[in-house]
Amino acid sequence: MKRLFSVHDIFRFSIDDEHWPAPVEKNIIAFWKAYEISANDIPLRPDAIDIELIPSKRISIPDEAINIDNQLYVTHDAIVQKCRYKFARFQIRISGLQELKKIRLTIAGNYASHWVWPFHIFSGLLRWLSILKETILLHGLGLSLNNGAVLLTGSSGTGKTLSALAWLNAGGKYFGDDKVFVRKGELLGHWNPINLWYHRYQDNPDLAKFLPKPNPQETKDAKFSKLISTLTLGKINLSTNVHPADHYPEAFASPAPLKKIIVMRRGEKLGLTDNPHPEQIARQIKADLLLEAVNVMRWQESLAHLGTSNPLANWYDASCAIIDQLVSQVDLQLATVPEKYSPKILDMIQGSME
Amino acid sequence: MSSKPVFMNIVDDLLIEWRGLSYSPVQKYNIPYEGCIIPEESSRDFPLRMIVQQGRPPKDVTDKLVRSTRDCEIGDGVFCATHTRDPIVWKAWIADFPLDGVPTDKPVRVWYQFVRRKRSVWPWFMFPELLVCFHVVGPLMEWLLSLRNIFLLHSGAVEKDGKAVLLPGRGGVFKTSHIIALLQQGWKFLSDDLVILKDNKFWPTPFHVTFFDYFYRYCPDERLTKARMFKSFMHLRKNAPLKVPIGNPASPAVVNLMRRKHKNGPIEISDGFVTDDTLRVLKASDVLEKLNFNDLEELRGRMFLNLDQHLGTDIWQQYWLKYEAAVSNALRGLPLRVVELNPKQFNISQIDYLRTQ
Repeated sequence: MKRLFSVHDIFRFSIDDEHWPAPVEKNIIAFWKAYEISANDIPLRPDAIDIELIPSKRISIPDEAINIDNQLYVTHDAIVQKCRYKFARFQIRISGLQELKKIRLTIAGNYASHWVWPFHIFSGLLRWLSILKETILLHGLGLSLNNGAVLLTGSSGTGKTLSALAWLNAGGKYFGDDKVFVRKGELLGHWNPINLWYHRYQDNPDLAKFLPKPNPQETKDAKFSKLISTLTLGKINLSTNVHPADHYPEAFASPAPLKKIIVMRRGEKLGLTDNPHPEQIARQIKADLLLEAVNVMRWQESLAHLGTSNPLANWYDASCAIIDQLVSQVDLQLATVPEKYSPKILDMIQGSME
Repeated sequence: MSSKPVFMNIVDDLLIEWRGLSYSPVQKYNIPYEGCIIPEESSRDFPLRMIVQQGRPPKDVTDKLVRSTRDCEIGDGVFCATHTRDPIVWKAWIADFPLDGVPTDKPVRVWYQFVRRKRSVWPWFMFPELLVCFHVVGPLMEWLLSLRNIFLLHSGAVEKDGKAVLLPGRGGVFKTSHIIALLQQGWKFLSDDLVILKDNKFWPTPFHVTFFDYFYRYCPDERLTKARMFKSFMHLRKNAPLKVPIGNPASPAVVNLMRRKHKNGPIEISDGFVTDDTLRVLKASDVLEKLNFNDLEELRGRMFLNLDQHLGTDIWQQYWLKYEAAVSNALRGLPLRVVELNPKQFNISQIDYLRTQ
């Protein structure tokens, strides 16, 4: 069966789920299920990009992240320790980068890789392509407040995900817990599952009170992951995914103008500082973007290396221009959060908006 | 801690003092060109200084670290980054780094400590200082030198009669092999991977583990297999000093941009001059060097992006702005030859397609 997904009005991607191994059903479709549509549900822009995802047995790739005959080849080997990503091996061919109308992703990978490429490669590709539609994918938590939107950004470990869970439990609407699309000063949703890394949250006793009640399907997954980690002596840690569509079906916020950006950082006391220097905030967001999107930067540079005049070869500069503009338009605040997470930060933000 | 400190002089602008350097190729593979390694602390006044030592920093330094995230701790004038290279995890503390871009008299102090290592993967655990060199000292040194308008270019280079020939290109285009072939024809060595640009002149690279990638030479790709790991281990173990003639600082004469072709066929050559497009390509190649690995944990230059993210400094952007100005000043308008070749067809005795004047 061919399944269609539409990311706002700029991307449409299709998956023929018959030929895929099982994890795709559980991952890419679970990952993007907030975007699944019937054929003509959402009118697309005339210049929208079609993306086709095709499984393949094998792709012979001569090099890592290289452009040959206008096709980008990506090879991926073992990366981060302590999680299943370590076992993922895959090769991907991205074609159609010249016309930028219809893009084909041919994917060949082992079983474990189908948990990885939807996050690492496909999200990166959307991040890369969205710049063509004046849209930028920023790292942060988007909250819907007083018909406007607030973006909380900052490095990992500052409590974005826990804030998102606390916010959703309190009945709030949101735009995404890790990434959000921003277009012309407006926040658009990016509703992936909320990803709780086992190795980061295993010692956190507070997490339980933020988590929704598990549904039967999830319990089954948890049993499976426990089995796997027993078999592999704990070397694989399966993360827990909480999809907002399962637990908080009312939580999806419709596009709203961005009113405030709050940059979070670790400190001793919980606090909000008004009027930080806009240039400083812009630099922080740019550095964060680059740290988040190293693979996109690598693709950009390998396109530039062939001297193409492709607009994707200017991804970083275009992103910086959007960030500069954004920072000059909205209110800015700096938040300091202590090591132990406290949901009081949300009250403080609400208080500062009134 | 028993060994004497090693002093390294980088183009008379930076003095690196490495204390407690254990047996390591970092020490052995310096190019012995005049003035590079100095036997004891020089009475000369170096504008930039860096002290590298093994072990934890004193308490007055660690006490300053207040803000922390998963892999980075930051305080007043001090930061600490945790690095992961699969078998090894190590921490590096850096104090007195000039964040505002104004070099000071105080030396930059660096401490490193190996937090955890597994014995199962080798050869890296035998030479952990190589990793410190690559991920900590290297980036720090590049950023420090950029304060004095000195830059490192990802390019091979040889010299004869005060003129330098550059061979920039991405990994796997056989830069090193071409350099070896040129050395056999009487050229003098400047670099096979990174070359120093100072005052529009190209200087030999004193600190790099030169010919380190020689074992990739006849391989279709750059992935490090067990066999190649073994080769590299044996290569490092021999610790033979380089016996190639080292060139003098020279102004560039020609740029041969190397490109990799994936189909068989004749070598394609196109001539022209260095333009903005070429400079963009050279920059791309250097940016890729800084973003060396796919994985965030092993990203070279990550420390600086972390600083930008936490403090709102502008280190990354400023570096590339200065880099563009310096490289464009040195290379724009030079004769250029773009060579596209398939590395499988490479023949070390026939490299007459390179332009040398």
